[in-house]
Amino acid sequence: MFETTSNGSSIQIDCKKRLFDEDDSIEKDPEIIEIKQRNSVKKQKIISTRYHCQIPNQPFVVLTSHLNERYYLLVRDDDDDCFKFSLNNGNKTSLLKVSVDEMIEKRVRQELEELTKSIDKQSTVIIENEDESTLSIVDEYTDELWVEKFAPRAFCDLLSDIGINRTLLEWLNLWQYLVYKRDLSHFRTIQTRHQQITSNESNKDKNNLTGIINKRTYPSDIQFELDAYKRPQQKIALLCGSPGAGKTTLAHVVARHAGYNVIEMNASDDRSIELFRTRLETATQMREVLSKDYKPNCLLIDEIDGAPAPSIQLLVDLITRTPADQQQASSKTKKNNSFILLRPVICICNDLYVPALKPLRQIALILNFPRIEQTILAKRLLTISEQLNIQSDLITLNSLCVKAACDIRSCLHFMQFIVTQKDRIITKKMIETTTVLGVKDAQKSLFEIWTEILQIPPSKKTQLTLQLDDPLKRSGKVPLARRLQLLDLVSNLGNYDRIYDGLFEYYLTLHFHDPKLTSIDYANSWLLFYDIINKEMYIQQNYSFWQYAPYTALVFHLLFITHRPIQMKYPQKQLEMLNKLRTNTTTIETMLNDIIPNLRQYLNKDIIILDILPYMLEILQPRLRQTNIALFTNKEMRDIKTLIDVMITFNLSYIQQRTANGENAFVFEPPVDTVTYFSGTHEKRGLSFGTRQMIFKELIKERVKRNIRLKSDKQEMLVLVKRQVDLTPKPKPSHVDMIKLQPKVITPNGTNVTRDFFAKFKLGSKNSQTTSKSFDQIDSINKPIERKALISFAYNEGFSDAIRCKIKIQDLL
Amino acid sequence: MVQILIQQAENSTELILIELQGALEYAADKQSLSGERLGFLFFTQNEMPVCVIGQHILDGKMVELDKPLLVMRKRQVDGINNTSYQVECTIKRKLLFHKRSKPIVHYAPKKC
Repeated sequence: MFETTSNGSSIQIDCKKRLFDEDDSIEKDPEIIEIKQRNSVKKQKIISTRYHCQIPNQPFVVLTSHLNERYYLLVRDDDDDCFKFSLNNGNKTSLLKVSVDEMIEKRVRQELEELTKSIDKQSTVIIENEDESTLSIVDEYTDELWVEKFAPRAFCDLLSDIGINRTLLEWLNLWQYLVYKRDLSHFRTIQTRHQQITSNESNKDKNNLTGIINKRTYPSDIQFELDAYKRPQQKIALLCGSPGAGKTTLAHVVARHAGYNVIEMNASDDRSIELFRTRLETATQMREVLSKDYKPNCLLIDEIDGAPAPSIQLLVDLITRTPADQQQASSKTKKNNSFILLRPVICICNDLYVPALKPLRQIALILNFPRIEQTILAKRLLTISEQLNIQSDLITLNSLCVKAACDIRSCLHFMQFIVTQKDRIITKKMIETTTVLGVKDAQKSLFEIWTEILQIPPSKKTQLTLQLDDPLKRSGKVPLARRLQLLDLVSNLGNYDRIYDGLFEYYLTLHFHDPKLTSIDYANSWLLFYDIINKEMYIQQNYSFWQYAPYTALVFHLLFITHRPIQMKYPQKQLEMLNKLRTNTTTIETMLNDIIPNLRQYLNKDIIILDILPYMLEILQPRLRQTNIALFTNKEMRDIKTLIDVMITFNLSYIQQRTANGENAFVFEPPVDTVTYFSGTHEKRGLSFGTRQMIFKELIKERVKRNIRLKSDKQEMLVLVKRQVDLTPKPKPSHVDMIKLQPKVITPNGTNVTRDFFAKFKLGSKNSQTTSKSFDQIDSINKPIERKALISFAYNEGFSDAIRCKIKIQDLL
Repeated sequence: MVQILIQQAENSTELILIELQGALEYAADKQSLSGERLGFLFFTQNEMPVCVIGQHILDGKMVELDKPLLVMRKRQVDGINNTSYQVECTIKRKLLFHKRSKPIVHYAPKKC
């Protein structure tokens, strides 16, 4: 190892091999000669020697050997050519030309290519051998859709769950008592048999802890009672499930099996209300005229979750109408609406929880179709492929089923397409790399997504061992493809709010191992992250944040995934809590409104809730004996007095209400105790009914007293004001006031009236003995008239009985 | 028919009836109005009467009575049996103040 310093100080040379006395001896070393030769082969340049005995002209570094001899090493420039001559094309970290991975891959690819070539040769050999049948097979492939060709004709060919098939058949058989007019004895035996079976099943379920649906059960959904018209109680059957599960097929097969003629109404038909009604009526009331054998009709409404809500409502109304209703209706409507359902109706949908279907859900027999069993489906595909001479094996078909999510329709379509394009073989590679496989567009419901996030799929139960894991390090165990799939799933649904609401509400009920609460903390921080980006997205209208929303679901998947089946319900807590918050806020506000202003200036909602209310409620509910108020001790009386004082000041009162039990109870008005106390601690703290009643009475008394006091205070104040007014000297009336008519005593003037009103008519003015006073200061030009205040004249005004005037009781008394 | 001659005594003044459509009010302390001045009576140039009582001024007219009235004085001389009535005068006209009375307003100087 060399240790070089930039300033050329002395250096120890360790490696003896590198000791050379002269430049020539360097070249004797076989290694370096080899290197040189190789380099010279690559490039035609001369490598300058590195070691000199004398001080060279170029920049150098000094070396001292163990024999105390000095050597001078040249310092290379960075762009010196010899740096570029390296063994492995500039890659300093590895010694090979090509990386190992690349070599392996290349080798493997070669092998694969050879294999596929051989296989292709084989298949082409086969085809060449069978020339005649090739043509027929090609025709066969393009002639008819395989979905149609291999559709189940008989009941036992159906791929869907046997229990559901039988249930639908039984339900349809119930109609025969009306349609075919059979007797009821057979019906009774079926009913008893069902009851036995269901009771057995319920016994079994008690022991069944895992809660997995037992596929062999007869679901007890059917109501076997018949109504007055011998129709079953559930007049419609509603089949729902994922696409390609076999619903339509089942309905057709079962209806045909029971002897009905199926009339189908699909999403492609116009489903407005009038047309709906006409179709319904024609289907159930008309018969096929042309055919020899009369078959009753059965109406099949496909894709009903896409029908407009009024049409569905009409359907429900028509079906549930009974003749009793019609009698009540007027004769006018009778003509239009004389319709009784006398034939079965089967409806098919994909999503059961569409809002438009709500009225239908309540009256229909609901049959949930699970996905077709993968193994059964694969077997069926194998038999089909054998029939068609296609080479395939069970494993390949299994993977096809998985990829197509057990949708038989898309599997068959895929097979048909592939085989008509290429050779009659289906390989795993085809399935993996196909872009042709189309899955019918079906959104996973909320519940399915929650199951995906939180539950380990049954097939992978053995792979994930989660017991002693640190939850945060689990991400490596879940393969990338699975993670991406989950993200896709969640983002396809798009309703992140609901998903996270549900997760947040129920994640604590799951079983997970988290002694330090790190998982919970982590999950909550991710929920906070989602909240923040959601809020920012809406505020800034910046929807680039949307792509980060599903990652929280992934975190929940990694942290809380569990073996046990989960029980999730639709999240409602959020709404509940919001309502509660609102009611509490209004309570406090009503309380704040009427508090006296002295206090109000210091109070706001927070102060009341946090500081005042808890202690105030203690004051308001003291320990009192249940005796008459007169028997209370002084201390108790004081307590009550303060209690009432506080209640009046803070505008509280009691109000009588009926509780849920039907009893009367006194409740705070406004209900501040519900605001303050946590649920559950409430009931223990209140006062008894009698005590509250007593307090209520005292409260009213005190209120009345205070009101009276207030009023009397007001009156006193008024009187005071009045007196003050009287004491002030009357202001001298203005000239304008003199226009008012008032009999006045006029003061006589010294001089006689020189010019008064009746200057022309003076008769006996000298005799007038008027003594009059006058307050006015009118000029002598217009002197006041001397009048005797003794006699006055009142003209007969007429009767004033009918004139409205205000009379006070005081006048009458 | 007995004819009775009615002679108007000399120096008898003619009495004229004054008819007012209203009531006379007087101060409560006085019990009767006898001897008190009622008001003023003037005649305008058209010989239309004008009466002023208190604060009211009344316009009226002279009207002939449909049936004249006699003003008689009862005399009882020589006991109860011998009563006679002496006619003081006859009333043939009346002053009828049928219009509504108007109040008298003090003049107030208008200051600008």
